[in-house]
Amino acid sequence: MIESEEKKLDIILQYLHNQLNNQEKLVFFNLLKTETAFRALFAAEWRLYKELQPVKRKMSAAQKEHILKEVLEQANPYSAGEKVITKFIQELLSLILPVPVMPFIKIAKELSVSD
Amino acid sequence: MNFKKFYTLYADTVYSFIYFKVKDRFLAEDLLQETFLAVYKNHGNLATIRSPKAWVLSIAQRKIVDKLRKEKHQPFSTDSLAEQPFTEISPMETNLFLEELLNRLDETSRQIIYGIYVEQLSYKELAEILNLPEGTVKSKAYYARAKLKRWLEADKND
Repeated sequence: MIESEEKKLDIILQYLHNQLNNQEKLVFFNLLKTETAFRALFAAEWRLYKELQPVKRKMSAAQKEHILKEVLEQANPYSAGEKVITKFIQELLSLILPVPVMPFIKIAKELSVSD
Repeated sequence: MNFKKFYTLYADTVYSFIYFKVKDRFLAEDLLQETFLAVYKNHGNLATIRSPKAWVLSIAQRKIVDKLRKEKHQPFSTDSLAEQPFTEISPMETNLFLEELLNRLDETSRQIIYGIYVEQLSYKELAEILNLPEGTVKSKAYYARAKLKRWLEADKND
């Protein structure tokens, strides 16, 4: 038997948050069956819970992806520039060095760069 | 958990939390970016964080407060946003009546109600995010909830 309204609210919230274990669920459903006041309290909480769900906002996948890209670029400010320079050097080397050497340089470069 | 996974899991939650407070899409995106930049700096410790949602939202909360102070939208007080109009809300998108009811609450109570019912946060997590004692969160939740129910009930009877 749960006496205070505060405790009743707690158990209702835990139910809404899906945090009740099996034994607590039994208590919850028993209260729902046997106590009119608890039923009324649950109905009011359920209404509030349902009414508030549309407040939640979601971003589009593109928006989310764009912000992630921005964060990663800001966190690693030289990565974009480094990529351009690396590509430029590789192209330059491919012009200067004989063809059989290039794959070895690329492999050596990949091995030396850890992400 | 790696950073990208963490971002995928919590980006919407953080964005929604920020938007709920600042009501401006561009500002919300900026703050989201700043929040995850701070997360990135600590991403080596992600696996050890007990309540990741509360942790990332507490970073977002600090970013919101800092940003609003810096930009001096208004001399910032926690209640200053209560008077701001909902400039970006389309009637098609959200329940305007409910937004209006929420707007009648003080800023902290509004965030507490949002945290409990929308983000399913515990009182303890909300206390951590808002930097308030757990008892204060609980009592504010109790009174805010009672007010909202009363207002919703009054609307039902009209």
